[in-house]
Amino acid sequence: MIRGFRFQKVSLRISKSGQRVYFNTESHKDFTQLKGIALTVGYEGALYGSTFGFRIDEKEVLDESHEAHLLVFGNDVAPNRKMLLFEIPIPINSSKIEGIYTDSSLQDLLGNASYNPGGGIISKNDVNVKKTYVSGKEVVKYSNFQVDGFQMLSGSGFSIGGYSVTPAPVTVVYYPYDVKVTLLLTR
Amino acid sequence: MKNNKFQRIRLRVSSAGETIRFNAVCDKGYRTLKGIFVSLPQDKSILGSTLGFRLNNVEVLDDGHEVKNLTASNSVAPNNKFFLFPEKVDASNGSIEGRYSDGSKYPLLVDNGEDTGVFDPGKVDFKNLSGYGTNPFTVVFPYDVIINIWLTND
Amino acid sequence: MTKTRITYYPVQFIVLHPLIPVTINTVLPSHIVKITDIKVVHSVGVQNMTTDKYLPVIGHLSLEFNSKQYHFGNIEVPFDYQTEASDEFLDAGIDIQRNSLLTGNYENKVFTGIDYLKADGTVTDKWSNYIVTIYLKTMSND
Repeated sequence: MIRGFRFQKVSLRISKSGQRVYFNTESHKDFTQLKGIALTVGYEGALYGSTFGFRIDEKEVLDESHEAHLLVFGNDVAPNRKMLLFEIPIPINSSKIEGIYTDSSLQDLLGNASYNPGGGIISKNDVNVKKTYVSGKEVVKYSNFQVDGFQMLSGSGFSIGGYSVTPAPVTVVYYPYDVKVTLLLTR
Repeated sequence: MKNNKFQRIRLRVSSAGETIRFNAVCDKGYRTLKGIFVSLPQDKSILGSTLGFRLNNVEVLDDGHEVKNLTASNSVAPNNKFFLFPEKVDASNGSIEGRYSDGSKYPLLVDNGEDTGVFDPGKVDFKNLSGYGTNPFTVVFPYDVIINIWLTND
Repeated sequence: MTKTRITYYPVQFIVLHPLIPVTINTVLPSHIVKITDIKVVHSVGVQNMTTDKYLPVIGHLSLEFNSKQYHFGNIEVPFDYQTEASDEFLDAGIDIQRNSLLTGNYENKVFTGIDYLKADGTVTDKWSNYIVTIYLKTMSND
């Protein structure tokens, strides 16, 4: 016998600044609805500018530029509210679940000068500079995660769309840190 | 007979990273396990700690379930402090087997050998890295964990 | 068969100068049929200019949907640098016309003093560009 709900979890390890970790897994076969999602991150400083994208059956739920800190719920939130809850549950049926966590991805964009003098909208191509959901590697099965070891050269500029970028200083983060993804499934 | 009962299970955690297994029996005369609230004396000990339990041999929360999701600070109204289960959990003749793990040793970092869900690209031995003393958030030991379970006749 | 579902669509913009407003002008993807809720957050950057963890207002944002036919009004954008997420969004309930424009204007309200601006109008090295994100909780039919 199993219960009518289950918290399915995925752990990711972020080993270096700017790292992108992609995972894909399958929703538990006995559950038909995804009702919520939350992240836990080991260090506060790691949250800002880091992003988390999420797809079910190759349909985007959270864009890759969705900020990780909006998915982390602290102690001042009631236990039943510590998730991003979907008012319309997402139907699942041994569904393909994909996520992509990018450490400090938005900091990389701060030096970008490719806009009008005051600033402007950052194009999706720049935000998803590391190419959403495409790793070029074989898709792997449950409990193995692909890691794309893209790494910024810290302190030196690198190029996005032809413009030189100097990353701004960020809050100190210890590496590695782990990110836990918790999904609430119901039958 | 009242229709609500808050039963407490108290555990003593003596050292960083300790895992405690416990057994308990739900108080008789109540049909439903409505909710759970874990009370910890130090906020620093919340991150990374886990609590899983089975009721009558059926898993309610897996062993990796974060205590963070079962607790709340004083900023949360008393009537919202419990985690309420998304369905009725039958508690008659309930026998609980639980497992609490302190998370203060390496907050949220798990040994690769123990958790197959983590892929470590660099095979980094995090225990030897700077910034990773044991107990980096300086949790004070021993501390007591109170697991409050809310039983009803709903 | 297509089915309507909830997605979160972020629109990110960068602020490069304390006194020059940012103009927003973008086409929403055609699969977005309705915007149910809106949340505007500071994403990254302001923490380089202050040790405060919270500033109630760093700027004002006005937004218009459906190619300027629907004005959402002014939103005060706070800076909140604490590990505390809130699920709170502003109610919107705007039916989106296909291929219509999302337009708007953002005015920065902080870090405008001489520490951040030189006499010639360029910014000093104390100024940090920052990013604000408009989260649109949408009904999508893709």
